[in-house]
Amino acid sequence: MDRKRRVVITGMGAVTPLGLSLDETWRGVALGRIPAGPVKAFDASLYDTKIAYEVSGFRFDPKLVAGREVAFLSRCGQLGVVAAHEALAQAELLHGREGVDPWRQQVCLGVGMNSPDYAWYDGIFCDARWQDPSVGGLIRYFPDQLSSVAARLFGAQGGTTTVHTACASSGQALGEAFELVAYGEAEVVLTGGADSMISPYSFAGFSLLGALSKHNADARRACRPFDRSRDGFVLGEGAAMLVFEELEHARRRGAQVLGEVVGYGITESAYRITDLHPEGEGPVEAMRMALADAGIAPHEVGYVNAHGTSTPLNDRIEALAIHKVFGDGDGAPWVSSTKTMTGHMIAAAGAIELVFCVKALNEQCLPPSLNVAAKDAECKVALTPPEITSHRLAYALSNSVGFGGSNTALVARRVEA
Amino acid sequence: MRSSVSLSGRDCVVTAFGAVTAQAIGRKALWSLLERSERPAALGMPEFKAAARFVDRKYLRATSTCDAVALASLTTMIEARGADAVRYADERIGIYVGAAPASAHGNEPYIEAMLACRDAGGMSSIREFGKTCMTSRPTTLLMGLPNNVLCYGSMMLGARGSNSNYTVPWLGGILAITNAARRLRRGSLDLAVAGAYSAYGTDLGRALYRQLAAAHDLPDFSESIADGAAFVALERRAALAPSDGLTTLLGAGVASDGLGPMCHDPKGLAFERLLRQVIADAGLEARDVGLVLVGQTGMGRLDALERSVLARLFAEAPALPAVASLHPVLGNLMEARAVIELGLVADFFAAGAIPAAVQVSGWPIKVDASRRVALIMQASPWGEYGCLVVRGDG
Repeated sequence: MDRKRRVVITGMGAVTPLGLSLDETWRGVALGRIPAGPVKAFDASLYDTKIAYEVSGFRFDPKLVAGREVAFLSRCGQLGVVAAHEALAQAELLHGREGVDPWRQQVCLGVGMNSPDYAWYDGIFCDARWQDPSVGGLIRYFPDQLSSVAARLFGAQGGTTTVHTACASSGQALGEAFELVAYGEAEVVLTGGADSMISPYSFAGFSLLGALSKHNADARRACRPFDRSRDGFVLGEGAAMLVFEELEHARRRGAQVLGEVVGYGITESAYRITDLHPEGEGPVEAMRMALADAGIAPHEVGYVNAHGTSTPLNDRIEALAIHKVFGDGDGAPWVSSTKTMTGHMIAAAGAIELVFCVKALNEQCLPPSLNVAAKDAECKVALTPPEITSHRLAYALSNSVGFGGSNTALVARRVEA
Repeated sequence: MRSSVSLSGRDCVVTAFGAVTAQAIGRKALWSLLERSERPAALGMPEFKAAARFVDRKYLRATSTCDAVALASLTTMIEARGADAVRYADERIGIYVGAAPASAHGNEPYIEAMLACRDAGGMSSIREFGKTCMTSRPTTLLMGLPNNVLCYGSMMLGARGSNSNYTVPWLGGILAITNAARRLRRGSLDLAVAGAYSAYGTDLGRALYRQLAAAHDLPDFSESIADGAAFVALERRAALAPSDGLTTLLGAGVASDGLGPMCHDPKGLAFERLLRQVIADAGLEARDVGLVLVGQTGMGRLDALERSVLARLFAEAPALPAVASLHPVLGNLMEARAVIELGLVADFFAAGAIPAAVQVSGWPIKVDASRRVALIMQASPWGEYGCLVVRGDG
């Protein structure tokens, strides 16, 4: 099938450091909350970075899944299940629905690296105790387990896909889900992302790369995208899920339509494992591809949710890339990074950031740019005001850029009721 | 409405194939192994050193052993494609990878740091690890990155087009091929490279699967787990000379029972429906299939499910296809299995018969030259299924 069909969003769900549901999360964005603080998950007192955005008060209810499935879910998987539940419930597809063909339903998720507890490594791995019964339990760290559980939640038989391209994972999963529906491979796809890397290993790894902020004394101001004193990102965790559905299929069953995805761009920088190309090659092409796919001109995009990690390199080059695509002046979009409010959710970043784009389109507002005391003059983008602001929006674009060089851009638009 | 990729009419040609397994590197060596019916002693590759095979050694610095196996197989594919092959613009080349899903990242630098802060009681302190870990190599995190092969592979190929990396156990290779072919078919790529690697042939990997099998009432198949990797190049027929190409990909797809992890429908209805749909979308019927490549990986009821689906699929066919399982010689190659089989389809048709060691009892061994269509079918213990339909010439 070559003709593109329209892809709408009929359900969304989220669990983030801002809240245990999408409503709570968005309320946090509207208030400009910054839930960063000292790491509670483990004793980080001797690490270079001691701060994170953690999901507080999360207690997984095992009744959300079949009893046997609990053993297949790590914390990342649990976060994902809760968000998936919310999205499927809103779409009225939880546990299947009469008249909706399960063969035409799929799951396509971006799921994080996942790794066992430090204590497991210390007690089992270091001494190669492979006969220990805990080894079988490592299955919960296979990223695909969440996809498998999620498929069962609504009886999807069309296939499951799990993507991992580091920070671009869920941006990529959303894009592939979009294409599955647009090109007729599926009518409904549960898509999104989940990640939880607030652990000793991950902190060690990102610290060694010099990627994490060391503004430990003021956790709430540590993540400062596009500010000239930025020094790295602050890890977050969480999940965001969306239900993508073919428009006529949604209308026939009376589903509410929350927004529409109209374009997707995907490129590979093929440059270095961590660094962006100095001229923004990769992200520039991804954004242009998404705009072309959407059939719109750059000036029609009113808001760009940047990847905006708060690292010196990413923000500068991403801003350059945005400037190359959109220019400046009246036709240029407003730009913000919402990672000041969620932290960097790594594999889940693309998904939550598209959710924020959809919410912004629905509510005709611009998410705030926080912690910008002095904007980096090299970042030639127009940052949104420091508080949520009413603004007429027709289209929004979300960028994701990952270690390994995958770059994604997704364009969403408002759907009038 | 189709739920799989139909490529008929816009032929998607397999123009090159490269593979690395514990026993053989490259297509010729692999086929020779099957013909000689050699079953090697070791199927894992924990000590594989790929330096001599790499296009550029700098990619080795932050890669694990299984990444090295995968990148070596990509190198053999690039070599097989040849220096005179058609050149495409970077943004028209894409790479799709089925990665072995990682469960524990065994990075030696972290382990050293952990051991360095062990107390007299033999347990280390998370707090102290925060200090000792900073003596590790800066690239330690990157060694566990599941998309390393995608990243370094894209550099090797100059591939800046669409891409993806799938962490789906067993079916990663079929997913990579399916989505690469979709992009080729839609015209957004001119060269789509797809492949996969499996990496559970280690002590830890075998222990994991041994325990998993025991917990889910499956026979212990851990000793047949094999490490390996393979990549294929997919190009459009119109861009090639008439004699170019190994085989033609006519269809591909995936499906699932939707019953949750490690749970599958014993009747195999979703599996059967997938096979019928992909064959039909390719404009064919079951009777057109002359060769089937199955798993039969010693997994008890999963093997039984596969056999019953096979029997039902060809129940009405006037003549049964030849059936082969590479498992007795190559072991259980999991994510890489389907890619390797895709690369060897042409050899099966050229030979005209299934080599003795990979015959499946109860099924023909003569490959009918008049039915040059192959079906590659794969089932995973997760109740997920995949298949490829291939014409046995380029």
